[in-house]
Amino acid sequence: MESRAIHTLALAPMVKTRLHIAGYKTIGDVWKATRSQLCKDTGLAIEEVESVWQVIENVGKNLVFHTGNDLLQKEDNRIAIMTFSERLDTALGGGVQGGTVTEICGLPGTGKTQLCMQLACDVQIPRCLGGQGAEALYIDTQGGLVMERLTEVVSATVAHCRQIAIQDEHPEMSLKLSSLSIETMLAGVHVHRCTSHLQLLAIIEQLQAFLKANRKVRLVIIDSVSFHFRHDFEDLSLRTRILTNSAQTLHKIARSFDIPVVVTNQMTTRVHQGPGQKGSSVVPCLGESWGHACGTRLLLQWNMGTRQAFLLKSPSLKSCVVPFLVTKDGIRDHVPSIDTVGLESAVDATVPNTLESPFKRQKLT
Amino acid sequence: MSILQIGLCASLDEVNLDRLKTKNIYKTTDFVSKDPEEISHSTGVPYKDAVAIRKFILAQKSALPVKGNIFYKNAVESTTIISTGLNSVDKLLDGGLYTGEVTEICGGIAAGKTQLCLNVSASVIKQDCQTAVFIDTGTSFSARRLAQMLPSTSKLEETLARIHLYTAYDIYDVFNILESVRVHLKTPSDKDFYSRLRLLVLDNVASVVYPFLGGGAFAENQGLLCSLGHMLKSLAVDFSIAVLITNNTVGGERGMPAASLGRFWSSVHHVRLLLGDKDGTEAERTVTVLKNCRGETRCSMDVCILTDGPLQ
Repeated sequence: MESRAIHTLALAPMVKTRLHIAGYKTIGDVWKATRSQLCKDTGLAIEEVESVWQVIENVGKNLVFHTGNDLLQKEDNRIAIMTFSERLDTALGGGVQGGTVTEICGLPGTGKTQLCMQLACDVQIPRCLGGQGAEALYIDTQGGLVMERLTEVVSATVAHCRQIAIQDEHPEMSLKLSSLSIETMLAGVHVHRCTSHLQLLAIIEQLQAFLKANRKVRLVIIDSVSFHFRHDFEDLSLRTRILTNSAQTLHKIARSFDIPVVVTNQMTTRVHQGPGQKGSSVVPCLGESWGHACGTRLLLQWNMGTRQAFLLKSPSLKSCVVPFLVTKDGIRDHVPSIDTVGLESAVDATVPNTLESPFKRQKLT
Repeated sequence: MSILQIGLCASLDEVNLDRLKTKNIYKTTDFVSKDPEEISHSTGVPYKDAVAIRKFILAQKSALPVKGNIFYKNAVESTTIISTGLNSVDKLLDGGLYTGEVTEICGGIAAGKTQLCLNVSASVIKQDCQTAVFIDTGTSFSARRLAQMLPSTSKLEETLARIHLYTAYDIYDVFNILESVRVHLKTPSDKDFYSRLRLLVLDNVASVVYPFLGGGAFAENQGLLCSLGHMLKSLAVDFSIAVLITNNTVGGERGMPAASLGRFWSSVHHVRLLLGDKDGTEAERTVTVLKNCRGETRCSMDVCILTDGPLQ
């Protein structure tokens, strides 16, 4: 580490400049000098020199690597969060994956918030039923989280879990499920309502501390990440810097806590420029750099009266299109397989799997 | 470039050093960039000493010339050609990635940059005598996908142990990792792994550089970018490993996609490949050579991303 250049350290630019002028180029140079000599040579205050010393002493510590084996094992042991649509789960490799940042984008009314609510419920399903028995953090930027709707999805999920327990007649399972109620499940969703981009950035910065304090939270949802960044941002390069920075923080959180981070994104119109290109297309917001930043990207769209989820980007899965439904109970398969039909009719026989228009859902309050 | 210290040479004693410091001469560069007569005049260091110190510094710091034939022999001996695992891309690159070179893959969103990186990694680690380091700046590395790309005959556990993954979320993390790799290569504590290291992947460069690009403090930021380029290059050359990095594309002139990070960055790598969509197909991509310091450019080949196997 002795030959490590000073200017590649995470120090204030001014401190680096002072050290540079005084001839301290590498860590080795600083090591050879005493603290008082450093003060004298650079004109820095003793506290500043002390902080330089601390940075140098800690450089390269806590640097961990994983072998391919460790990672494969970790990936195999991960429990993905199911979406309650089997085909969507299959497309996502079993559900929304831990340790990744997944972006859900789509036009208004395509089901982004609905999917997020569903995930916030599903992460709480007890382990004995293949869930995580965890809690969710829901960062709501656009006020799309309607509590009445969430309660509906929650109650359907609770009923669904009970139904399975009754069918299986497993005493241990019923015991665990006795604590599961609409009340506890709603309490398991931590909602942050943030009304400006500054609030959003502040929350993202504090996420690490929050997750450390609340170990049960195993899912972070930001709905939507683009809302506050779409307008009032004249300096686009500043926006890119801020967003990439936040994306890196989200990646760090996803990896270090091994949890899924789900963000939603709105769509915008891009007018084609350049020779021979005419017209326009609808693309996800926040530009190219943000598109690179997300590991997995899922586009929700309407096609011939059917809702579709289009996996646009994934590091490990093939891109594909699957249909899905938004019902009163939440996200479901478009073509219900035999067992879910049985379950759902038992849970709520009066409500068939009908397709609701997005406007109707908005008015549920 | 180093600091002037006692013990550097006999003529540089405490008295002379203090005299120099009073005139803000701290570094060897400060010293040699001035005329010895001027130094002696302004600082009071005896002229004889000033000349002696200058002579010593120049002799110690200068690089030694190497004859062309020997240089060539060294280059031939130390260069290994690493197959990308794709016949078509190997053909474009005259065999594959060369150790001692930095290769950049650029491409748009979901163009398959990470897939190509994983494919090259698989091609390296499937051989017993080769190892790889993968630095992931996001959450895009997938061990399962890597395992799919390995031949079914290989012993999975042994093979996957030959790749080390580091995660980096900002540029200082990347510096820390590169420096640590460098130290390991110099004094191999984990000799088994580092003596066989042939490939270093950094996926993706842009996501650690964007957060500080274009803001204030231009000199500082450009300096960091410069250092990153320098570190990658020197790792490749000093330890003869192939360095593979990925970069994003942005809408350039006339809407044509161009690699991001600007002019300076395009001088860092030796080879630059562009991954582009092939019209109307989902799994097929076109690889184009944009820059190649030892071969043809502007030639392209098609590759296909398969679901459960290596690229073809």
